[in-house]
Amino acid sequence: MVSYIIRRLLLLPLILFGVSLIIFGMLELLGPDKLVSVYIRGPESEKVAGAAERIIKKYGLDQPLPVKYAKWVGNILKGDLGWSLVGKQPVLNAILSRFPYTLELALWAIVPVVFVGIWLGVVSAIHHNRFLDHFLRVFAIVGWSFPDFVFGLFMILIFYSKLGWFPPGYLSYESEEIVRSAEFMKITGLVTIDSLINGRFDVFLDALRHLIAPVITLAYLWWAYILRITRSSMLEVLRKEYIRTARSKGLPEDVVIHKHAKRNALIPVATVAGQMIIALLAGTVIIETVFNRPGLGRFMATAATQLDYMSIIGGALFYSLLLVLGNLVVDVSYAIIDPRIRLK
Amino acid sequence: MKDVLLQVKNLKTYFFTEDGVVKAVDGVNFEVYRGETLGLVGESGCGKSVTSLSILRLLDEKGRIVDGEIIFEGKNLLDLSEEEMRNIRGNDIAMIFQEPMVALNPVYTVGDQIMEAIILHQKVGKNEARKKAIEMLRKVGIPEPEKRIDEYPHELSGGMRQRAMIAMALSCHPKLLIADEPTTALDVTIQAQILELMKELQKEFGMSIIMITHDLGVIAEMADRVAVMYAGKIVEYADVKTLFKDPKHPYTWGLMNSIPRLDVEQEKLKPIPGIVPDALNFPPGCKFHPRCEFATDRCRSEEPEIIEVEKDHLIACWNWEELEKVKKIRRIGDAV
Amino acid sequence: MVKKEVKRVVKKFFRNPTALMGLILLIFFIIVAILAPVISPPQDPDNPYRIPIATWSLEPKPPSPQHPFGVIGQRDIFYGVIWGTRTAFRIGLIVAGVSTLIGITIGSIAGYFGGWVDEILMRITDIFMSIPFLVAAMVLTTILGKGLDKVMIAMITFGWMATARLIRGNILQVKEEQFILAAKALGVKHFAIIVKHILPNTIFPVIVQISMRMGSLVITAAALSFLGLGAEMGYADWGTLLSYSRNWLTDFEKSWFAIVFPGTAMVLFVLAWNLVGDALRDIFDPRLRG
Repeated sequence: MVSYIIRRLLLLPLILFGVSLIIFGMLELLGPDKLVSVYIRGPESEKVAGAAERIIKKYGLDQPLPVKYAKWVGNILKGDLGWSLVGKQPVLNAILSRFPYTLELALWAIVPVVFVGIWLGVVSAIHHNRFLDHFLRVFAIVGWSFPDFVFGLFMILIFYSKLGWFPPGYLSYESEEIVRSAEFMKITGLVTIDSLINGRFDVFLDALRHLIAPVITLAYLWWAYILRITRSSMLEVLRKEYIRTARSKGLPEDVVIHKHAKRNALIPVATVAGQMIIALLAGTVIIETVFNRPGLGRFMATAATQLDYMSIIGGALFYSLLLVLGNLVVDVSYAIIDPRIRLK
Repeated sequence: MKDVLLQVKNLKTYFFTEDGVVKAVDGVNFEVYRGETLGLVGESGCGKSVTSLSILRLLDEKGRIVDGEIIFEGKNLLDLSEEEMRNIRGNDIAMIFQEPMVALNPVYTVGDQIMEAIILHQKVGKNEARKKAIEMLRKVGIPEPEKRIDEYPHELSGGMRQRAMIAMALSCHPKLLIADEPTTALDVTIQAQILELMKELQKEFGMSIIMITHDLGVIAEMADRVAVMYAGKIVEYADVKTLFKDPKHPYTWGLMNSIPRLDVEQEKLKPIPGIVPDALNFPPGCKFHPRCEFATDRCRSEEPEIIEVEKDHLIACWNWEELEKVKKIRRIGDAV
Repeated sequence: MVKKEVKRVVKKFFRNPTALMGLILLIFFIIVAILAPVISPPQDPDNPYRIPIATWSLEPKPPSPQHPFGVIGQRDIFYGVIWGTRTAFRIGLIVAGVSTLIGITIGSIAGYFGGWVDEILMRITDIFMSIPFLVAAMVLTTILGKGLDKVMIAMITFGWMATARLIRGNILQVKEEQFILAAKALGVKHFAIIVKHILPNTIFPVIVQISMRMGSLVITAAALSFLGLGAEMGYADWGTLLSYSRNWLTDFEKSWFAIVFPGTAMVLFVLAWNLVGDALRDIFDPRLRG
């Protein structure tokens, strides 16, 4: 397994290099003149006479492509992702300050998705071709067909506009005041955890009230997806001969299913779980916009509509890094679940 | 009279598929005596595996036993509750499968899978079960069982895996072992070792074996009595010596011609012409008639019942008397 | 062989009630798209995708006999939903079609030649898959500028990888089969082998994949439009229609129709493709064959 992980780690720089090339290529599509104007939109202090020349020199904009790429990557490695117009601060700071909000939303969504999705999938497989299975299949395919932002709009329409239960946004005005105040310790940056640390249950409950609708919106689609994958994987495993062997030993059906079948069936589910976590993070781009929540997603969306190129390029690099690292974690954990890979 | 352990009476197992009803087993009768080995032989798709799965009631959801009785030690297994049935599986009747590669769960160690059955049926603790599992692994000839017990199936060779399967099946000292093509997936030298092992263990534990195979060589080696199956029915049923000396059914002749023999000069190996008929569209009359060179009009319209033609020798063929003459001319039989 | 397969598929397909429902829905949408000029005659025939201004007031109007789905952003929602059907088909078919062609080409080359060609192409595929699809499409659309054509280009650029992997995998499988070896022995050219022998064998999984992807492609395009990156204002597009509701969300009476009608159209459209794709997958999936 160690050599497998090492091989995987060696591939990492290659993938990151490739990703940076693609993103650099997209940036180049802007053309040289526009690029200068993009870079020059920095903080006020840089907007002095001769700024354009300095920018051209700093980023090697008059140089051939490889040099330009090298300078671009060099700046990124130094943590200089440019100046964010939307954030009115360096892009890296803008991203890092908004990421906790997004992470919090995604984390809240992952738990129900994984547990409920797998549970439903197993139930569906056990009841193969009976009523519950058909019902869950319909649920899954309708869920999978519901665009997340349309679902979110329906949620707001029903649970806020009509019933007034779950307001959009991040926190109520009062809670936000509390969180901003000096005595509120910000330790993790995740308000649901910080509020508990500070002993402010009112803030915690308020945060939950704002989280319910977006979490359900993010989760239901993946419930459906995980259900489908778990179901078909379970059905496949249940046809395997070692399941018959287990039954031939006289094991009770729940041991056959939960011990012998589930562990094998979850191997393919684990591979999509990685995809899912990334997709949940990327999905926040639109969910945060729909529910008017602060975070990296809404930042990206706003930056895109305001043609804040530096911010979206920085965001794309950040999301890609997450995806690549996420896939690495998944591959490694995949190897841990499956002894056939672990012991190679 | 010998002591009957298992008696299968008029067993009918059908599969209800989208395309129609498949009569995989259609009226099968046989019995297994204590301590003996019954061979169940036939080409793939003849219903021999379905018969064995029916005995353990392990058919998939499409398969149903529509008629018959399976009497084990005086009880009809088909009348038992699922719970009672589970007490029999692995405990009184155990099974080993063709592909040890796929019949062992890849994500659990061999030991874990053996101990599972011991803990379940013998109501012992984990440590005790582990000791017994190691003992079993030693009995089936796995070297360094203390180490092997913690290995995963893919770490063992094919032969070792099948030995582990056997250890697992025998861990609770079953009265009946159903072995479904236990050596088909293995290479020849290992085949012989496994068969030898099974015979030894049979003697030691005094169990009965149903040996399912397509290979008459294995039957000759292992079985006391033989049932030849074709298209869901038994077509010939006799003790092993009689069958090899005096086979009466043309299908049995075909099976014998398709194995190599050293003692008799053979022109060449002759596979049985044609293929096993599609279970959805069995031919009318005797199901073997499209592949039978002796088929008559009667064979094409009427299905023969299995009858006792000599003492303890049953066959299902209209023309068996005619064929006795042919047999003499062609020098069939007299091989063993 | 292919003909027999088609017959089997058709037979199985019509036995499956959910697949039939999907097919009926799909046919319904095709009819709506074809008959759009009859159902909702455009005011400006040269520019039918521009939803005509219905009112000068900015206030949304609930459904009425003149505007059966109501009015939002000064536009008639009914008109937008009807003509938006055409937009959805256009986006889905073009993006799925072109990206599948690219995927087939790359996958065939990688799978057929193997070795370092395969290695390089597959690593490139990995790299393209390392940027989240929505983010990648968003960035490229922003850089290329607003407009549905830009959205489509962006989605094609980052949408070919799954097909490439699928085709490559299938080709590796088919490659070893006898008749390919036979064709090679007869000295048939590489290209001819791929086109004549290998592709027909992999065509069914590709069809399944296209039908399964149609829905998600239309969703992504609509999401970009909803964010204000796709179609320009006033264009008959479901995502754009939905984006108008953003300003009125707090008021149920003023926004429900602007979400319910285009939203339902989208859900049904995606559902239709998914049902058909799901049924096809079940039929083709060899593991599920009985």
